[in-house]
Order: sequence, then structure tokens, then C-alpha cells
Amino acid sequence: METILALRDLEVQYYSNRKTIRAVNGLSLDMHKGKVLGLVGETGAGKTTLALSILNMIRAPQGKITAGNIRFAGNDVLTMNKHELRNMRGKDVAMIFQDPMTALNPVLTVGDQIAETVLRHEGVSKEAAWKTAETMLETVGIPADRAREYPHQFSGGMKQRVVIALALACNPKLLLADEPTTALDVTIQAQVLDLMRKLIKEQGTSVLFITHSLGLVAENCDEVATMYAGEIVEFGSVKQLFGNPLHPYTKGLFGSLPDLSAVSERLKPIPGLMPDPTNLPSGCFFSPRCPFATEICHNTHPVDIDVEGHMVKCHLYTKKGGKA
Amino acid sequence: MSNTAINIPGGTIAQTARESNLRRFLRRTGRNLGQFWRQLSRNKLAVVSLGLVIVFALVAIFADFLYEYDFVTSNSLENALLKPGESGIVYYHEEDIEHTFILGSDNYGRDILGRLVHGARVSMIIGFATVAIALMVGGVLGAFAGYRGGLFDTIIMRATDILLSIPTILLAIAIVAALGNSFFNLLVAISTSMIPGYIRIVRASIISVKDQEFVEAARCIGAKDFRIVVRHIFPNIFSPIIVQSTLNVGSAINWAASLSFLGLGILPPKPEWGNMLSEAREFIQYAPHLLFAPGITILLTVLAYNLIGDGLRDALDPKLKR
Amino acid sequence: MSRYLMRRILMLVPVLFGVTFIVFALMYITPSDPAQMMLGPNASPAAYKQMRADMGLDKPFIVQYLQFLFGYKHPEFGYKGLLFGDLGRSYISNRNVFELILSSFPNTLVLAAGALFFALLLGVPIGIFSATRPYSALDMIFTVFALLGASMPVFWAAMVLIYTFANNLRIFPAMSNPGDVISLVLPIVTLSMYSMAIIMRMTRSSMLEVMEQDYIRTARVKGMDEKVVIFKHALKNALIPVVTVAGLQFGQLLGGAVLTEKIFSYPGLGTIMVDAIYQKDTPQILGSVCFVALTFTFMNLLVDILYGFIDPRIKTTYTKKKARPVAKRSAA
Ligand SMILES: Nc1ncnc2c1ncn2[C@@H]1O[C@H](COP(=O)(O)OP(=O)(O)OP(=O)(O)O)[C@@H](O)[C@H]1O
Ligand SMILES: [Mg+2]
Repeated sequence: METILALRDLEVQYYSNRKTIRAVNGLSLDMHKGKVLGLVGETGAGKTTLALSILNMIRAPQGKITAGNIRFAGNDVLTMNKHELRNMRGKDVAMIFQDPMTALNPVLTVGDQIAETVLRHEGVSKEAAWKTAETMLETVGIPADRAREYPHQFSGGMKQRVVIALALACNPKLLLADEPTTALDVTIQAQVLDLMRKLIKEQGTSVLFITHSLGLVAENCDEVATMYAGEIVEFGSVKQLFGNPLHPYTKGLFGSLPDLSAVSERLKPIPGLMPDPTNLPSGCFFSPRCPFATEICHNTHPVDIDVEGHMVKCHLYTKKGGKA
Repeated sequence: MSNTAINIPGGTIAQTARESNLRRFLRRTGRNLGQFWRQLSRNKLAVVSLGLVIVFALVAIFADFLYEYDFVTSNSLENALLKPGESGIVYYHEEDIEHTFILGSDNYGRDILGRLVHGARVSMIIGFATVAIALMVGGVLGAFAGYRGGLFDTIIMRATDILLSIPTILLAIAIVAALGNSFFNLLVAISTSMIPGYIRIVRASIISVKDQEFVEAARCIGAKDFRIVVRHIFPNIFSPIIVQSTLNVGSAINWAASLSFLGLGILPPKPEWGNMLSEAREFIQYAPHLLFAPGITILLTVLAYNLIGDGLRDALDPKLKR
Repeated sequence: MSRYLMRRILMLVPVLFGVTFIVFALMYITPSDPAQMMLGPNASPAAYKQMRADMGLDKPFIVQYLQFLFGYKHPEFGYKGLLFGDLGRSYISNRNVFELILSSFPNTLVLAAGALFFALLLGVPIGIFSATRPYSALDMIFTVFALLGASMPVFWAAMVLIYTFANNLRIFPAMSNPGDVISLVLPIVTLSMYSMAIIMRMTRSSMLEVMEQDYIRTARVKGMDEKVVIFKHALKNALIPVVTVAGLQFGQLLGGAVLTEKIFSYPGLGTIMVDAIYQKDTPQILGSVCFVALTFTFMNLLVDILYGFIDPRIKTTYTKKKARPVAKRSAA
């Protein structure tokens, strides 16, 4: 499997109210070409932050990538200059934002917003860019003649499709889809997902699929990563994670999931709260909530353990023959 | 504001544990004030301005100890147009006294600094009184309009539109011209010009707050309208009003000076910054201190209020907390 | 669009009646005696009484107000009324008030337009610049300058400018008139200071707010150049409130040029108004204040319309003739 994106020991912090919010903490993750990676985790786990970091979009003074490195297709994203970054954003790596209602510029027509991206990256004429925009809109099921309309003239579901059209307009190699369907109702959700799946298959795009819905992960993804307090605590194929969840947190999430194909199945609530990102516990971040936590869990931060190609970050598996 | 959040549980407990609620409220207010002061004190310009405003207020309060009112209003023609720092013999209280005119004298030989000091008193009273009047009238009208809605709201809003369609300074001029030159009429004119602003702010804040869940919740558990306004709505409109009022004190001082400059408002020999400039017009070429001393005083005062207002806005804006 | 406009214009009617009523009421309670003014101090009581009747001053307040609106028939003092564009004659100069207003208004317009132009010319770019570098040293300096401009009493600024540039440097004249462009410089600068400060601050804060929006992040994520992000994506949104403020400022400038005009002895509406107030020339005051309020209100209407043109969210509600058929367009 060809690795398209490699994150190593990534640390991201936000600064607000004179406090440091540790949103991502020493995170490592690989993404493989043409595969869909599901990223699940509670709200505030740092999923959006992770996606933004891949684009090097954490901006001072709100936040900063403080450590680690990000390699996209072999290039170090964090050392790219402005120009290289801009060439990468939108062209090689595109992102679909969580909230379609605010992601589109209200004073520009949707056609313009798509066409300008094409124009920026593809070196085509204005007419050709506009043509592409119209084609993209039609691909996502919006008639081409609506390209000259403004975002407020579209419904929420249509806006979400516009956002998808926008992200896919330049055939990105990597798509960061941040909860692309949360804002939609269930039927539209299914339509949009079908559409995305189709487009992704056609274009051979790798996808980071951020969601709260385990059902969607089971349906759409090849691999899954569980994120907790800015770390990946478990990573493996869909079969591995769903068949044999290792981390207590993942187990908790999967709880007593009745039917994996149920699209609407949400993450199970686990007793307790995510640790305060301004004041993370020592030891394992999950230890205050963990029913299996022992002495070592409260004192020492666990390392990644490989259990037959299934990565888990938990002390429970240290003795069981896994190696760090 | 963080008050909004705490009031949700507060509403339900209120019935049974009023005192503890009150104490909690006070503690939180105290903490908020402390936090607020920390925010504000980071803004150096605002702190300096606050210092300046306090100094001016002290000067205004103790004006009579610095210069006697009669002294700064009586002519002494032989000392006319002295330059800053020059001294002259003034016949006052039936004797000749040697007096140093720190900021010089005007065309009637009156002490400029003394007149500025007493003018500060006038300006400060105008600034605070007009804001207080406008805040009370506008606040009550706006609150009722926003809270009740309906016909009353429509009428108030039309009236506001009407007042706002006359340029502010013109409205003030017309009112003073109609009612006649007096201190009180000046207050009326200036506060009338401010009332529409307060009506709008208060009404808008009330409307934006009144349908929010915590107010609905309070209403559901049977809190009275008045109680809702005081407990739930007031904390939310506090910050826009405090900012607007600070800025308005500055504007009021500015308008009062402008009106007096036009000869509408406080007339000489009563000392007022605007009329000092009006009187100075013909002499500025020979005695520029007549132009600069009152002008810079007005400028600094108004600027100080504007800087404080700006600082308050930033300090009270939850989005800007850093 | 036209229906919306009609509605807006209809809504102006009560406002304008309100304005005329307030101004009329203010003039009514003004302690002045026009009949005495016309006759001089030595008139007999009978002549005085006759004069009051001739001028319509013996009628009750509401009748006088209606006369002001709908006209008053008298061979010498009669007029057709405000609604027919006749405001009567000045007590002092005996000239037709409306003509006097129309002859001086263009002068005020020149001044106000010049001031607004100057304010926008500097205010908007500086505001944008400040917003792209918030809390930098330059931003602080501009902030202080803006606040200085907003805090400075207009009449004092005018006096300082005259003292410096007219009396001492002798670059510009101390008095200005509409025919002489050089002489307009000082009053325009004076008048624009406050508006410039307001526009600068508004542009800055509006721009700062817009730069925080999600769609700006979208634009950056698309790889757009920072210039495009600022000038296309952000500015278009940020200018919407600026246009409103600029329009309101223009209205204020038209009516608020009073002090500036007075100091520069400029023959505009403001000077006429202040002189009329000094002389208690009721028809002149009534006429000019109502006229200014009218233009001010129309300016606000114009701003609203302009607003619609730059904000598509409003534009489409104007132009929406029939509701677009809400066809269910499902994914293919
Ligand atoms: N601009 C910001 N400034 C300060 N803190 C931030 C900022 N953005 C995110 N955070 C904080 O960083 C942490 C991670 O946020 P993030 O948005 O990445 O979570 P998420 O996993 O995407 O959550 P959700 O599922 O709700 O979208 C949270 O604690 C959040 O409060
Ligand atoms: Mg998120």
C-alpha cells in the first residue's frame, strides 16, 4: 500500500484567554492511497484541528503546530513556503468543512466560488473554469443554470453538495471530509454519501472521513482510527476494529452496537468527560474514565503497540507480547 | 456574558434558596468585575485615559478651591491677552493682588486656566447629566418597546426614526433655539439627541435576549416580567450600554462646546470651553494660547472618554478575550 | 424591486410628517414675536393685532401647522404650503424660502460630497490595512489618529486649520466659496475628519470580523492568494456595513456642515440655518430644517437600496417577482 500522507508526532496548540489548549498531542497516522480512513472520536477530540493541520491551516495567533512533521506525497508540508502551500491547498488536498451553512461566501455566486478554484489551479481560461464549475454542480445533482445563484438561495443539503463539488473540482489526491453529512437529514445524507463514494471511486481519491457515526464508518471506510484527547488511541482495518476493538475507549464507543449497518447509529456515550485540553492528566489521557485503569495507567503515558497490524495505545496490551 | 449560563439553574433554585442565590450572584459579579478590570488594565491607553478623566473630575469637583468663581468671571482689562506665565496686578476683593496667569489671559483679562477649571465642572455635569437623562428615558422606552412589542413598539420606533432623521447637531441647535439659552435647555437638547440611540440599543438587546432559552425557562417557572428583566436581561444589555454611555459622555461634552460656540447654550461670562473658543476667535493670531488651551482641553477630555469606551468594548467583548 | 421601493417611500411619509411636526412645534414655542419684528418696536396695538391676523399667528397651533403644510391664503403673506413646495417668505430678507434653500443647497452638497469622498479615500484603505495587521504598531497609530479625528470638536479643528494654513502659512484662504476649489480644501478636510475616523474604524472592525468567518477559511483552503482572500472574499462582505455608515455619514455631513460653513463663511444651507436661528426667522428655519431632514431621510433610503445591490441576500428579495418554483431536485 502506497502511503500518501504520513503524520509523525504532531502537536498542535491553541492559545486563548492566556491558556494553552493542547488540541493534538504527539499524533502519528498514515493514510494509504485510494483508501478511505474513518476518524472517529468525541466532540473536542481534535479531529477538525487534525484536518486543518494537514493543510497547515492552523494560524497564529489562535494556534500553532508546535512539533512533529507532516509528509504529503513525500513532501514536508510544514516546511513548504506560502506559494507551495497555496498550490497544494485545493489542488492536491481539499477539505469539506463541517458546517456547509457558513462555509460558502454569501456575496459570491456558487459558480464563481467553484470556478475561481479551478482557475487558480488548473491554468485554464475563464470560460473553461466556469464550464467545469457547471459540470461539477451537475455531477452533484444541481442544475447548471443555478451556478449564478448565491448560497442563500440554496437549501442546506444543496449547499453541502456545492461544498462537495467545490472540494472535488480540482480532482484532489486527498480529501479531508469533516463530518460532511452531519448537517443533513438522513435521506439526503445517504444521497450525498452515495455521490461522494461514486466520485471518490472514479477519481481514486484518498479520503480522511471524519464522523461521529459508526454506521457510516462501517459502510464507507477501509480503515478506522479512534481519536481521544488529541491522540490516535487505536488504528486498524474496519474489520479489525469492529471485530475486535482493543482500546477500552473504542470498546466503550462500540458498546453494544446492535447493527453495524444502521446509518444513524451514533457513538455511545461513555461515562465521564473528555479531559480538559488545557490541563491534561498525567499518564494515559483516558485513565480517569477507564474502567480497567491501573497504577501504571495513571502515571505513565502509553506508547503505540502493534497487535498484528492493529495499533493500540494502551498499557493493557504491553504484557501481551506486543512490542512498542 | 457568563451570567447567562449561571442563570439557568439559578432560576429553578431561586424559589427555595433566594439568599444563597443572591450571594452567588454577588460573588460572581465580583469575580466578573475583577476579570473585567484585568482585561481593561491590559489596555494602557484606556488606563491612562481613566487616570485623566479622574484628574479632570477632581479638578471639576474642587474647582472652587483652585480658583474662585468670581475671580474667573470678572474682567480685568489691564491684564488683557497676557501670554502664558505672565503676571499682572488684579484688583480683586477691593485690593490689588499680584497674580500669575499660568495659561495667560483672555481679551477681558480673565485667567484662562481658571476658566478652564470651572469649565471642566460645567462640561462634566453636562456629560454625566445628559447621559443619565437619556439613559433613563431611552432605556425605559426601549425596554418596554422591545419586551412588549406590538403597537407601543411601533409607535416608539417611528418616533425614533423621526428623531434620527434630523441630523443630531441640528436637532440640538433647534431645541436650544426654541427653548432659549439656559443650562437646563442645553441638557434637554443634548439628551434628546441621545435618546434614540439608547432606545435602539436597549430594544435590540432585549429582543435578542428575550426569546433565548434561559429567559423562556425563567418564564416557564413563573418568574414575573419585572424579575426577568432585572435578573436575566439586564446583565446582557449591560455591556453595550456601558460602552455607549462612555462614548456619549465624550460626545455630550463635544456638543455642548459646539452649541456654546454658536452662542446657543452657556454664554459668557460664564466659563465654558466652547464659548471660550468663540470669544477667542478674533484674537487667535495675536494670542494663540486662546485657541490651543481650551481646544486641547476639549480634545483630551473627549479623546479620553472615547479611549475608555473603546477599551471597555474590547474588555467586555467575550470574543476578544485572550 | 419597484414594489419594495414603493413601500419604503410610503414609509417615509409618516417620518416626514413627524419631522415637520417636531420642527414646527419647536418653532411655535420659540420665544419670538414675528409680528413685532415686522412692525418694529413702535407699532400701535391695533396694527400689531392686524399684523398677527395677517400672518396667521392668531390661529391655534394645529391650524397654523396645517397652514404650514397646505398653504395660507393672504395677498401679502400667503403661501401655497410645504406640500406644494412653497414655504413662504423669510421675515428678514423677504425672499422666497424655498428658492433660497435651493440656491444654497448645492454648495452644501459640494462640501459634503467632497468630505465624504476624502473620508472614504483614506478611511477604507487604512481600515483594511489595520485589519490585516491588527494590534501592530501601525494599527495602534492609526487607531489613535482615528480617535483623535473623532474626538476633535469640528469648530476647533477648523480654527486650528485656519490659524495654521490661512493665517500663518497662507496656503489656503480662511474664507471659502464654492467657485474656488483651493478655498474648499480646508472646509472639506475639517468636515471629513469625523467621518474618516468612523469609516476607518468601521472598515477595520468589519474586516476583522469577516476575516474570522468560515468562508474565509474556505477560500484559504482552496489555495486562493491572500490578496484574493482579502480583496475579493473579505472586502465584499466587509464593505456592506461600511456603505451603510458612509451613507449615514453623508446625511450627517449635509446637515452637520453647520459649524464648518459658519466658520469658513461658506454660503451653504448651514450658514443660512444658523443665521435664521439667530434672527428667529421662523419660515427660514422651518424650511431649511425640514429640507435637511428630507434629504437625510432620502439618503438613508438610497443607502438601503445601494445596500441591496452589494448584498445579494437582499438583492434577491427585491427582485423576486414570483416565488421561484421550489422544484425538488434530488441527486441524480
Ligand atoms: N480556534 C480555536 N481557538 C481555541 N481553541 C480551539 C480552536 N479551535 C478548536 N479549539 C479547541 O481545540 C480542541 C479540539 O477542537 P476540534 O474542533 O479539533 O474538535 P473536533 O474533534 O473537531 O470536535 P467536533 O466533533 O465537535 O467537531 C477543543 O478543545 C476546542 O475547544
Ligand atoms: Mg470538528
